[in-house]
Amino acid sequence: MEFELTKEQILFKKEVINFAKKEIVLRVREFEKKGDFDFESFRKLGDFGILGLHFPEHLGGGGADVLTTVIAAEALGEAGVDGGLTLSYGAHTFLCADTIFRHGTKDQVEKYLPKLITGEYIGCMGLSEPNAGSDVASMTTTAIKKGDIYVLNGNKMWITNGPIADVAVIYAKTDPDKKHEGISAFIVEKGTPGFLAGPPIEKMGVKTSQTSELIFNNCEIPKENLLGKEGQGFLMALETVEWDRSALLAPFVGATKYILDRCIDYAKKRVQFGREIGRFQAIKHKIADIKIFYETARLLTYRIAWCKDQGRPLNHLEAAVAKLFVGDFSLKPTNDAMVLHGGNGYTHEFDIERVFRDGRLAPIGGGTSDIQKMIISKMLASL
Amino acid sequence: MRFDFTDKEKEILNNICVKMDNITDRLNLLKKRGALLNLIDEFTKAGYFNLCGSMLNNARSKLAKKDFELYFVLEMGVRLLNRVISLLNISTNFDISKYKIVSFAYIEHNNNFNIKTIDTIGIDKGDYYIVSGEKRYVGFLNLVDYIMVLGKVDNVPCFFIVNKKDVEAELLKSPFALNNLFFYNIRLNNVRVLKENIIGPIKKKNFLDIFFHELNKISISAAIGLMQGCFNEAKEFAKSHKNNGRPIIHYQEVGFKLAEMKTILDASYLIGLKSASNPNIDKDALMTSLVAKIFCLESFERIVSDALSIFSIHGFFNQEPMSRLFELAKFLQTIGTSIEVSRVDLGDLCLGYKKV
Repeated sequence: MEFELTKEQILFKKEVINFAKKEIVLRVREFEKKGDFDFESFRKLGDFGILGLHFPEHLGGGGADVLTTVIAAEALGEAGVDGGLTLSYGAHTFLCADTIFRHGTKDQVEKYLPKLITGEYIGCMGLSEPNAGSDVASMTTTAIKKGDIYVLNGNKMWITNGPIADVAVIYAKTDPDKKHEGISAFIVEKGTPGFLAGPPIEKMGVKTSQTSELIFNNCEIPKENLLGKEGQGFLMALETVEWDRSALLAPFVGATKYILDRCIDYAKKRVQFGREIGRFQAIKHKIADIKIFYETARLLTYRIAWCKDQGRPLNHLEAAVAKLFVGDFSLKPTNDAMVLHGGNGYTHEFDIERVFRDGRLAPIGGGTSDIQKMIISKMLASL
Repeated sequence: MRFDFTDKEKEILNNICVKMDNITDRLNLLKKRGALLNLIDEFTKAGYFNLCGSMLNNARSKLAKKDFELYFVLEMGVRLLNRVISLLNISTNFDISKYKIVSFAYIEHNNNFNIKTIDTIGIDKGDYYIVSGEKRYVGFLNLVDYIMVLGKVDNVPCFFIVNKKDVEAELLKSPFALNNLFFYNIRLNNVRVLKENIIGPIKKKNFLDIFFHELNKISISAAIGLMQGCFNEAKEFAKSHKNNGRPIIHYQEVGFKLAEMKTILDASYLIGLKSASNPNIDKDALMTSLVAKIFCLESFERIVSDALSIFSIHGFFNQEPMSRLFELAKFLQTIGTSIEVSRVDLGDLCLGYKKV
């Protein structure tokens, strides 16, 4: 076994961190405070090559493997990029663009991928519904074929990039009488009659990403917008959620390194009772615990990326384990970091509370921790 | 990165596992030096003592899972001496092959991790030293001829190689989980040690870090193996034990507990292997080792505690009682740097207060 990054990966990670610190991080506080999406930073991610890192070069991508892609996502968090922007990037690249790339026709890929890779188009993915979260099979959005078109009706909920997306990958039932096997995936473009995005939903964290409901009211789309074949949507969604549990986790893991560095700086500068607070054992323990979480979480995240690089199409157990670990175990280190900063940690002047708020999405988005436990325990029961 | 062993590595590990599976009459091995020496020879031939990195960690975990007491003797009594000699890069005047199995004596009543406060002292008398001091919890003296006693000469640490006949030994009541091993407190009262029978003087400033780093690796590997065994037993029990007509694994209380156990087990496995795979003794290696020590040993305690909850009363009466594993979890936390000291050390390394 080998656990070290290659020299190239280390160098690339440093490059991403330097880029992010120079081009993006300085703008984070302003946009986070307003709760606005930072279009300029998003385009810069595209210009730098992050948005299409793992796509083939002939489409404008970077041709990188999954592990390198995860390292880049981790680097963004480590540099101090907010969870809102990294979430938007994740939803755009992995949930939307990657699905089109893997399951789209040549025409679909050539039409959408180059623009998604540069950031000219922003993508989103619609799977959850008001009454169908993890229980995907109970979705009620329908796509009924009528000649050369599909007619979509229904609502999608909690859609990252919903209000700003140009392209959406939407899951809907083409056969409402069936469960999982009745689900299909479609490409829907912004401006299609009958397709509306609701207003941005106010959230606790990841504030710069825009989340909304998507509404389909007799929305007609050409049959060419079907992704893959009818009935394959559920399997596509399963592949997609593995990204939720690898690349989308990576910025959270990187953010832990960010707060670890902030805590170390603060503990060495802050003096109480005549000495640096880092000299007190309780502070050392907190810093040690943050370090422990960071090191273990990144290994689990790298492992699922490595599994994907081995060409294993579905890695439910490894993915659920990584997701559960990052989701459930990240609360203590981010809380410790805030407490270590005392009153300062509770203010917007320091980024710690922002990381704390952003991190609270980790046990929820992409399947709650309880859902991960269900997946793992079911797999254990069958092993 | 590579999160799997190669086919060649798997083959080597498999051969060693076969050797482990063929161990019979383990109680005889733990009581009779001759039988143990034969086993050491067999393990040496099979390549067990030549393993390094993540393969060593993996093999160690398997042996600890199979027979922790035997593992403890082989690692603390055989491999540790070779590792100490090799890591400290000490030129020795003695023939190391003479010491196939030894005991290490390093814990004192008021000291177990600080060179400054070691009370075992050797006085230079020309061709020999006169050594005096007391050591605690020295393992398996019944199986060895020599004891490696940590002490100091002119304030510089060293190991005195002491014949066990020259010390006063007080047999202790063994911990429940290690009831086939014997532990002793020993007293050295003006013991004469020839100058050729010393490992040292050890002038490396971070000598104890290196020594405890090795001990930590022994405890990390064992914890991973034992928690794997513990988890597997709990899982199988949950699949076979029924309540209200269905296997208890299908209740969320139990299934979710197992999911959490599996999650921290996987994390422990990976960080343990990563720690083992770094052959260096630099800051990164020590930090990873401390991360692994704290995480794996605390995870072991949590997993065995959860396993006991799943097993309920059955956990106290199984062939391999979970209650015994619980004691082992706490015992292993004390091998090397304790969890508490490890946390302080890790914090100090992160903060740059401790230099390597």
